[in-house]
Amino acid sequence: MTETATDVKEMREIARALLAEGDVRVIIGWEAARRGARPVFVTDPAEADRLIFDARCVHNLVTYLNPRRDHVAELGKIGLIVKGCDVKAVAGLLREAQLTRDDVVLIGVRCGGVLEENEMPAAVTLTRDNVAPRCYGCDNREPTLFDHLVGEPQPEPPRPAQTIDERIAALEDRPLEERWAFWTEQFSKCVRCYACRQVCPLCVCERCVADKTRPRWIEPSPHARGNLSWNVTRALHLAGRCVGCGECERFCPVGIPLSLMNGKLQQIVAERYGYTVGDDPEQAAPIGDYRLDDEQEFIK
Amino acid sequence: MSDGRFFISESDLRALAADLLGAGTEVIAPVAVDACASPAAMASSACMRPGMEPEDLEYRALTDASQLDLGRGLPILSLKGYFLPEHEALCRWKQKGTTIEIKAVPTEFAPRVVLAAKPCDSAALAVVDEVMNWDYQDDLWNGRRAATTIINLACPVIDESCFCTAVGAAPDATTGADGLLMPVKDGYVLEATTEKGRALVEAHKARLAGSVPAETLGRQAADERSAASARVAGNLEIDAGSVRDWIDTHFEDPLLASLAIRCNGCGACSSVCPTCHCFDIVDEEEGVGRGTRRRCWDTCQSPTFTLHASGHNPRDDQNARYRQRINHKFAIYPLRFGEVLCTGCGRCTRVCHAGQDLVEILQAIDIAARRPDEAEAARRARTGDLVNIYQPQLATVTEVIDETSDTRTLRLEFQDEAVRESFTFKAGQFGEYSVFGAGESTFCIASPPTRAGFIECSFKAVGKVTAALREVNVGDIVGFRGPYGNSFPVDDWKGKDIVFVAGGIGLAPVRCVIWNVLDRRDEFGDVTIVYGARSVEDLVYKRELEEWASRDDVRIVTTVDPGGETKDWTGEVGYVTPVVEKTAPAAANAVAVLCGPPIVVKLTLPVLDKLGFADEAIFTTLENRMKCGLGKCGRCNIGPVYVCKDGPVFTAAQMKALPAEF
Repeated sequence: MTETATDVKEMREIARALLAEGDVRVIIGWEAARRGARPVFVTDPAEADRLIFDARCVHNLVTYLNPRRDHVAELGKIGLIVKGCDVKAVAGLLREAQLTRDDVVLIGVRCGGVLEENEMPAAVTLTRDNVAPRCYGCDNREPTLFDHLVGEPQPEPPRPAQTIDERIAALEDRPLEERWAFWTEQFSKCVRCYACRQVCPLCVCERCVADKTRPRWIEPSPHARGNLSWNVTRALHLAGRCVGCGECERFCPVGIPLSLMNGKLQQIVAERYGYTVGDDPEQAAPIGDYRLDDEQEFIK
Repeated sequence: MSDGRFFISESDLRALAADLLGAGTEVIAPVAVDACASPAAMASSACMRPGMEPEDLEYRALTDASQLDLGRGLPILSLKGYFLPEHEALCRWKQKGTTIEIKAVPTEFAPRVVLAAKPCDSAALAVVDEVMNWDYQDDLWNGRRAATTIINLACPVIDESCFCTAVGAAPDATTGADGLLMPVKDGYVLEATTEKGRALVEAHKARLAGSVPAETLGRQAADERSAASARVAGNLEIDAGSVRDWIDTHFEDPLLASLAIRCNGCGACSSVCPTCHCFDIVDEEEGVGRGTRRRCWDTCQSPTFTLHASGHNPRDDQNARYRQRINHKFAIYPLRFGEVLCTGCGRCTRVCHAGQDLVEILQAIDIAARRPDEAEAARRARTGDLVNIYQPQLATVTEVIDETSDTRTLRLEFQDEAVRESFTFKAGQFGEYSVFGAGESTFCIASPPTRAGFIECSFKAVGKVTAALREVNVGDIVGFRGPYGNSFPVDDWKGKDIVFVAGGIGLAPVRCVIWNVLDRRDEFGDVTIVYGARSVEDLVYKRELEEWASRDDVRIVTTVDPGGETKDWTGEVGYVTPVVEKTAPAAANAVAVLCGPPIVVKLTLPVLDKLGFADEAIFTTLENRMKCGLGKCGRCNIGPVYVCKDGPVFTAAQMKALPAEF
């Protein structure tokens, strides 16, 4: 990441002006904290200089636009700093009528990839070993959905040691029994903290199926049945909606490789429905868009 | 070895683990796992980048002693799950028609051993023992505790999120454990600290060497132990008692009420926490007419944790839920059980990629509790909210009381509602009272802090400002800045006798303390008041003197100077000092509060000394000329002491150490 002070300055100036003129009540971006970069909520124009942008700015802040976030909505109209990957989630919320375009002012930043982890004292140069694998092949380093766009065009991020697609392929090479053993073991680690759901910008249900009790669709105990139901249901609810930001996997305290499952589902959606998630809210998504030529062998 | 310490090499430690396993004992210990522990082939291709070493640790039941990982990381999950499993059956049921059969679950467990537990994890078990036994005894928990022998491995401190020493634990503590392994050259020193620990040592003596010089090992181990404690103390130092009391009294404070803006409301922090023990109880049907009632981990961070069936939720947003977590750990639990519900492992901070940082939060609460000025300065620096310290608040005069022909008391109420509600002060503090056009003047706050909503000042019209204050009437507006200065340490006087000695208008600051004490009468011993003035006319607060005289829990002696008495005067006649001597209050377990004209103070001090009052037990308040009250105008110094900042309350001992310039 070749972060230049001008990019950040420009971003701060826009944030300051938006707050000072009352166009927004809060700017959500990143700050440098004790343990690295983290989300910051700036409400006072004088505090706009807290904003940073560098390769540690991993978080998909669109999660704070999620309608479940009452305590964020209370702050008033939001100005949000977004990378190209993040803004796909804004498009998702718009597409699903969870948000209207006037609800938010988007400050897009041109991005050359981010690190896998935000917790480091300063940004370091991206390498094959530290780059977030999801950045490989990014098709939206320069967002098209924004109100303000800052920064210079950025180079492509390095290729990671192993891409997500390569990992999925490696898993698929294994026989069914081994794959089952693999996921059984992965899900056995789950403690049902629901971090994956809470951080997901597109988990928008007011009452999650996992929290419903009449009937109890998903057993809350973190045993094999409950964990399989939860993890599979969560992934399926994101099929054709997941933007691949990887926040679920990053926040998982026990390290379940959810990107593999999400990635596989997005591959299937691409193959069957010709759909790849982008940042155009008008682009119809497989869920909510019926076409006569859709494959529908399951209702034969 | 006689002192109960043994040397054990790493290979012998593994052999000891193997012995236990061989005997059929379950051995739980840190085991290195790759990020996607799984059948080996799968792990290397799908989950692991080539060349990457497994880096995560988990507490696992060993299947082979070679798995025991004595590397020093912190396992992802704490030991909690081995005592309060992520889910466990409470009972099972089978129903046929109207017959229900309940199948009990065992509360006795096979003996097992935990090796190389982290001290913060064993300490957490001891903390949770309290809630599991404070009334009903949770034998699912107790059964597992009783069956388990835990040997800690002293911790070299992992990173900047560790803070065990700030919450009463330590990197080499054995709280909640039965023994400690202390790394030394070529092995470990093993020390058993409980009967269970000693039984383990006794049963495995063959693996323990007794020939290593205990003193050398002791010293080496001790150096390492103190270095680790110093490292962790560098991360965070708080006063847990002050933090507890502050949280308990600041429920609505913005610092507590808006902690969670970046929080996603997941339960990762409580899942990885060694002390979070809240659970849910659910019925899970496992077929027609049969099922299991289970408890499983739950979290206060989830909206459904407190959601009523009606839809009402008492903690209905994330800020409220996050406050609950802090409140439960650092106020509720210590208030109920005497211990902080946290052992400083730092897992919650490390696991939160949104940046909720408990070290930072506790630091902020500790500063608010112990150094409020610094908290305010930090807030102002952050918000750019600059305040002119010289600008007074406006206050309305709501009552005017003539104490004597030249002394008046004004009762004031702040105009600003927020100031009226938030204004607090302590007995002995003062303020700057002003009449616009005349200026500011310094008096103590004469009303007690135990009576909220107003303040009072009493003054004699002697100068320009006091003359102007003499002219104000009910409904007029005056200015006030304050409260400033230190205060009488009334809380330290609990259980003691208190003797008040005042002369003339000097009763004003003393009156504040008297009412403060009388409003909390049960907390103190005998109360004696000796008050004198030049004449009967010059006695201030006459109504209150009568009220105090009519109480049977106050001894009051009033006196007037010779010649100042009237015909119907029933009090003493004489100067205050000899009357104090004559009254002779007991000095044992007593404090004296003395205030009056300099001559009264000067003459009464030796009398109190003669009566047996130590200089440290005599308190007075100084009235040097002040303008700013803020330690800046440079007027009130006595030597290096600023009366406005370091005073106005001083003990006789402190006064005697000052240059004689007051």
